[in-house]
Amino acid sequence: MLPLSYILNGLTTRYKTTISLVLTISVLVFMVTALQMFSNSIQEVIVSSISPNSMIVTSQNATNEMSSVISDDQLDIAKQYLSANQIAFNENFVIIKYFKHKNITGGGNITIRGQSPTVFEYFTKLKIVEGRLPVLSENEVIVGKKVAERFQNMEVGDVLEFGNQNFVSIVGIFESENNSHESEIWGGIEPVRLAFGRNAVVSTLRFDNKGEHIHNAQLSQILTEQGLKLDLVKEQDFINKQAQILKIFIRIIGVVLCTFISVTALIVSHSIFTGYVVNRCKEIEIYRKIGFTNTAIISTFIIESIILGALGGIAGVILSFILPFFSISVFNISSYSQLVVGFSINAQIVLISILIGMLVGLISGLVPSIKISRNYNNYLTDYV
Amino acid sequence: MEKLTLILEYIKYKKLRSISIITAISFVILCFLLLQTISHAWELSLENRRDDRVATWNKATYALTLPREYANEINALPGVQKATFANYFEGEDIGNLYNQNMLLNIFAVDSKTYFDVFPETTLNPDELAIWKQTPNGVMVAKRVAKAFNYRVGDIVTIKGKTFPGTWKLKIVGTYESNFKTYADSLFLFSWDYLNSSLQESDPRKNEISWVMSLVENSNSLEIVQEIDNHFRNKSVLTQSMTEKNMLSMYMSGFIGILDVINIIGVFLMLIIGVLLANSMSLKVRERKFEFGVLKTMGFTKQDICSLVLGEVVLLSILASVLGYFISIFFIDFTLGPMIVKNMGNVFPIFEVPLSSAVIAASTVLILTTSFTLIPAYRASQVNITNLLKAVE
Repeated sequence: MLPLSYILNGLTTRYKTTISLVLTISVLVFMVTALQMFSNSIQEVIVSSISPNSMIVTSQNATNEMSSVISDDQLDIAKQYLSANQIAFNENFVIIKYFKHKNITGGGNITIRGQSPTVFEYFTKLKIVEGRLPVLSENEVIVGKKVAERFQNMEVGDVLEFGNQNFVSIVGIFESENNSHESEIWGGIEPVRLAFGRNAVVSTLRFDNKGEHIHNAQLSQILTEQGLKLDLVKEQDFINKQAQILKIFIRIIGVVLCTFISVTALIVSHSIFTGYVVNRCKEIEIYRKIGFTNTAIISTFIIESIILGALGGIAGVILSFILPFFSISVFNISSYSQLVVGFSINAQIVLISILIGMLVGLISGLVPSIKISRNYNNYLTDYV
Repeated sequence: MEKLTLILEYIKYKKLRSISIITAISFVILCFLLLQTISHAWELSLENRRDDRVATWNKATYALTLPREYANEINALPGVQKATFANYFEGEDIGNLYNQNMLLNIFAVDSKTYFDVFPETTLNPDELAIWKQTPNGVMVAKRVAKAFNYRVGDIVTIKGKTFPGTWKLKIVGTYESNFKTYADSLFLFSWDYLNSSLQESDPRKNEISWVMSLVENSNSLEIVQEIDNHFRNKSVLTQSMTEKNMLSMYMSGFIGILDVINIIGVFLMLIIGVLLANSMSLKVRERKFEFGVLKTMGFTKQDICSLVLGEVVLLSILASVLGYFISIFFIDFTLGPMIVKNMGNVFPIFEVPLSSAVIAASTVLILTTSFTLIPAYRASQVNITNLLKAVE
């Protein structure tokens, strides 16, 4: 094999070809990384941040929190069991309302969540970044960070109109580990459900089963025995199911786009590489005269193509580091509400992207180098 | 003519390379058209919305309901020709093994007035008459009937989600809307039937989700105001909008995504440009000697330029045509039916719009030609003496 320093030297000397190859591969890697980052972010926002111990009680067959209706009487029975076993729980009243976007025209539905007094003991990861916690019995709310960023009149001190001429004031902005709660407005359960004219009704009840130490089966049994039309499911499953359509859609589009763009990048880099190898016929001939074998020449070209691919991969990944500064408001079809999704990167994505770059480099370099090392004589007659 | 022969000969001579470039460009066109199809499908549901149909719902949020009497009151207002009302009913057909992925868009509607307010539908008047008389009758859109394999006379078991319980409904007829929108993908059953099965204590008893009314076209915006004013002093306030305005408000929620789709589209087009410019400059480099010979034979600079550009134009036209046909095959016949089947409520139609194909083809042509100008110029500047010096 030829020495590595020679290969590297060659790359810098033929910088034009190097740049065009790296550029082509980096565009592919950028697209692939962006799609991975987007679906990773969706996963993060929707599912990952939910504790696997969290359970949720909804009315029978409800597919989203808003369409679940539990009356206070039904709820009391479930709560009795939970408090008797000293389990932390939290009930919500959930509804959506249309608000206008900041800067751009249009708007979206924001989930409004009326929380019971136990909320801040239950959601311990919630952090107030501006203002203060609300008094839950008053007409006070806090808004998620992403809501404050994207919607009109969502700063601390602003007043919102809830329901029929009910005015609530925003007293704080909160952060919650990047999950979907950051796209919501939280207030006290009583004022919120009063404002929307729904007394004595809640949407869902959440509790922590402490890793199955509390027997879900027992509670389920109680719920059925009492003739309550309620369902008990893992919160992760519940939320996952809600985002299913959105995820499938993004996956279909992502896979289709990635496949075709990969094939395109492969064809392009292959054609550039062919020209690249062909232009070096004289050089190859000299190597042979000196005494390098076919294998040595092929492996040199292969290593060169892998280096080029890796460079393209790294360039693409670096390019995609600008993506986390952007976020998109996505409509979650199943819950009728807007979710703000960004791009989040992790080590696995970086690794996969660079590997894809190397693979593309390898494949596109392999064929022409094998061809030319076998019958370089034909090439020599074709190209003077 | 001679130039065309030369170009064709060259394309044929480097068959593999020409094919691969054409394939690459056509794949990018496919990706571009796929994205365009998505945004077009979204926008399509905006078209064909009427200005003279007014929707009225609860002002607090459309997740809440209105009292049933509101429909009658709106109907009686001056300027309103006909009003109908509906309840959104989330449910699934549990007995259907034919299609378990697609969601059914079920509305509980007032069967007596529904199709009066949606006159753009074609249906069999006999079936309509039967529907009005059958308490548990169902009118289903033809496309939905096809997707779920429903036939007139079938009994379906619907399990409610927002309204717990099961309903046995009988399909009595099918309809087809001339506007290929959401309205053409519905499963309609009688609101009276739903209401009679609710318990007295249910807060949704005698409540409706929204009222739709046909109004006088000339002053629909004033009538919208009038409707809201009429309920100003009632306990439940209303929010009314013409169908068109409501949809554009709703669709604006998607602007973020549509922007992203367009940005990716621009990106893809740039890729095509870079791609062709790259391979053309490679070709020019390879063919320097040939250009020298041509020049010796009397070809001018302009001739050489047009040879290079002509080849690019020909390649991109071929690629555009191929790309369009691949897209038609892939999107209209493979992906489209899959998406319509699973997400028919969001994308009632998923087909490549011809206008986007034309845009794609012309953009490809312009981009590739402009990106090839530099290599073409370089080829025309070939110095004969320098090149042919080597041949002795």
